[in-house]
Amino acid sequence: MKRFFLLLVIVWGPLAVAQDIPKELIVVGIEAEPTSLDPQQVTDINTMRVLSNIYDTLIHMSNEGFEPEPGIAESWEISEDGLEYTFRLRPGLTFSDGTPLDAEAVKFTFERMLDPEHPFADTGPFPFATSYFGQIKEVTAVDATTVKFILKEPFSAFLGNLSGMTGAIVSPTAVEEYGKDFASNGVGSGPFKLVSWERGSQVVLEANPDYWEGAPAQAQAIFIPIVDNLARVVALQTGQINIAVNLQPDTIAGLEADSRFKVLQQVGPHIWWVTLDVSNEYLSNKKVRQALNYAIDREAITRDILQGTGIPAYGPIPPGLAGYDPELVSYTYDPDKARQLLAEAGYPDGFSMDFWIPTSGSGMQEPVPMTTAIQGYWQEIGVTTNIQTLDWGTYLSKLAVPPKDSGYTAFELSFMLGTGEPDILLNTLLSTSQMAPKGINTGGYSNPEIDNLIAEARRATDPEQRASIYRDAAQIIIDDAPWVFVDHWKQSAAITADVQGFELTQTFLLPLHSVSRQ
Amino acid sequence: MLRFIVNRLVFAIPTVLGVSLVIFFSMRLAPGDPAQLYLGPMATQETLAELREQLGLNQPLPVQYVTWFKQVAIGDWGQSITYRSEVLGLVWERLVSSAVLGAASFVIAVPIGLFLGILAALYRNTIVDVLAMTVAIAGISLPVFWVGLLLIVQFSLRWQWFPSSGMYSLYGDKSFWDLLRHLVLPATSLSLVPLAVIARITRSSMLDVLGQDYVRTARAKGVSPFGTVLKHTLKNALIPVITVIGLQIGYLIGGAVLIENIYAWPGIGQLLLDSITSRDYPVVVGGSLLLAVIFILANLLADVAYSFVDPRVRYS
Repeated sequence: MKRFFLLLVIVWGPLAVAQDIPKELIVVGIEAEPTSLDPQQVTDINTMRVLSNIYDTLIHMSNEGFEPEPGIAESWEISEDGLEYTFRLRPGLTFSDGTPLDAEAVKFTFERMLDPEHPFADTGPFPFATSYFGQIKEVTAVDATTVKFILKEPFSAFLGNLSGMTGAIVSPTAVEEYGKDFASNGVGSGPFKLVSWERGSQVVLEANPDYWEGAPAQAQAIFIPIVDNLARVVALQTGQINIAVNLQPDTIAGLEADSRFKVLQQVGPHIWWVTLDVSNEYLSNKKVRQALNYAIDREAITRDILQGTGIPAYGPIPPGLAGYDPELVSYTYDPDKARQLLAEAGYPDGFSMDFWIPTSGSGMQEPVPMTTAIQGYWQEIGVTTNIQTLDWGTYLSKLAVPPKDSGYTAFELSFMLGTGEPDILLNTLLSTSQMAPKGINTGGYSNPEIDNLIAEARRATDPEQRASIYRDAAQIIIDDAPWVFVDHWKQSAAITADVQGFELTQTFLLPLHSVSRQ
Repeated sequence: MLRFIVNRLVFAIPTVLGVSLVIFFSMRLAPGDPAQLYLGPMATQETLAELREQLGLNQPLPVQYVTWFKQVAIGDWGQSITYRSEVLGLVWERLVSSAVLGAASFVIAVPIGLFLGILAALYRNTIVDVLAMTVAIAGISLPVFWVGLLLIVQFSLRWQWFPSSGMYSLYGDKSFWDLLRHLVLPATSLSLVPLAVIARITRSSMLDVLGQDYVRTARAKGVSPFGTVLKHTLKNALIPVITVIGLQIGYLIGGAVLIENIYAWPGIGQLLLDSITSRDYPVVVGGSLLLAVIFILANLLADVAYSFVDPRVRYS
């Protein structure tokens, strides 16, 4: 039914004449209502997209290859032992409420989220504080423009983590003034400042003329949540918005063919995979796991089911991140080889297993069709899969319990690594120390070589060296196959032809500073 | 009359209490954990435990209920887990938007529904009847989101008559006319089911009454078919219709999720759906409670309306 109307939209779309949004406004249709304007509280990419325009961070990540670039900090030094990071802030910066953006403000921001004794620690919760910044032992304001962080242990991902919204610097005056209501009244030092937030309708921002990189090109930016993917595209076609994010795959061809719009697509640092329970009697055998990887046709899945909104994944590290290397030896679509491996493992007639999947979820793309395809491929080599479908909430709660107590053999998940650091993925999901129930490595994968490489990478301050360590780790993981690697998501957006300077970013954020309408 | 209303309001209290109990417990008994959903699949056990502690989810259920109840009694409906803002304010804003949409749909559905029903009854078994009832059946059978999308494609994309999403234009002045323009398509889509139901009930109720002896007497006396028969029959036929209208009000306000979704209307249906998905307990319970109160008030209004229409009710 919906497809029929999609076709109508695509056919009649060209007949629609764009309404006039005043040129000094730029309107973005996002996929859900933002949850909070306090960056330390936020866990979802959608809200972070809005916040990346209101707030600024010490470091920015370059759009090519995740290189750290100056942000609020114009330069920095790292001590030999990797424990001390000293940042020199740009002088004379202020927040949009006039408060000076100095070392004290930076100290305030980090202490609020990390120190439970901080007077404003009750304006939380701060869900990502420990995972991104738990390594910080102390923050000192050396002078007005110098901040020093002392870490408990060397942690090479620290710089990358500082570029994410969880490290965005907030105005201490505003937090003190608003207290718990700060979440409804964000005050930062970004290219835009908040004018108003009408829940469910729009977030209105206006240009911050004092932004250190220069005032943004547009006087006002408005974010509108439009949940239904198709309705968002229609809003673009009827001229109600200038930028639509996360396009419904069926609409892409129609939009590309229409000269009034431009479609952008870019592979993001995202990975979608199937976790295998390595304690299961069949899956404990590496050959079986490798067979499962050989059995699926990733090209077909991304081309036909995802309609080109993903690229095949051949390893755990997504494109753009340190350690990503398309030359690593990985799996091709080879059902014969898969059957052979199964036979070698002692299961020429295959076996059966339980596969739990969610019906939706952040970053999960199209879980049900994708899994059905995977089930089909595995059936071809004799592996029967019983699929159990759960809603996202129920699914997550069941996953928290290790497989032997929960009853699943395989489950699927995805992750978006917007800060460009493979550490959080590898450590949280594939290290021995994070095995369930302590951590969430519920698949139970444990390889001391990987644990060592993760630790080594944390200590390595030279980016080339880190990349090489992660590359080695990736090759081992591919070979061990604790996961079936499936795809990397291609993020998409469509803009009206008059929008200039808009780019999709590796961080998944949506900075509008350099975007203008002609 | 006043005693009647007060009486009903007093009886409403246990109903509302009952609703709060059922929703409170059924939400918490359902699998899924708000802390987990808030933090995502990558959350560590520590962070989860901390958050659960902060949200008071570790207490035994009855204790949680009593805590919640005591807070509600003093006006603190709690804080949304997802949005970190006060539940009452959050829910109320959305409720008002839904009420606006609901009222508009009501204004479309009731007169047209009544009209079609009456027409169909008076011209029973003629082409008029067939056409009117076809419209009614279509209204009930066509999926609401389908109709919504159809209206968008035709009236928004193709003819550019109305906007396709939102409640107001962004850069407009939030004028009444702006709101009206945004209301037309969603209110029309939403009105179809109630319109159909009202039309059918009106028709069958009118037919019942038209078959009565006193109607035949009126016609024998020379009263004209349309005008005065209406006066004699309509009031009597309205009782079941009013019941139905009362029930429809609840649907119009709380059940418009699909319409809100397609038209990006900032209503309570969408909020409740999102909150259930993310297990945002305070919002689900708070929102449902408010909706329950509205249902009760709507039905109370319906009862009061009976007494105007049927003198027997007034004096009992």
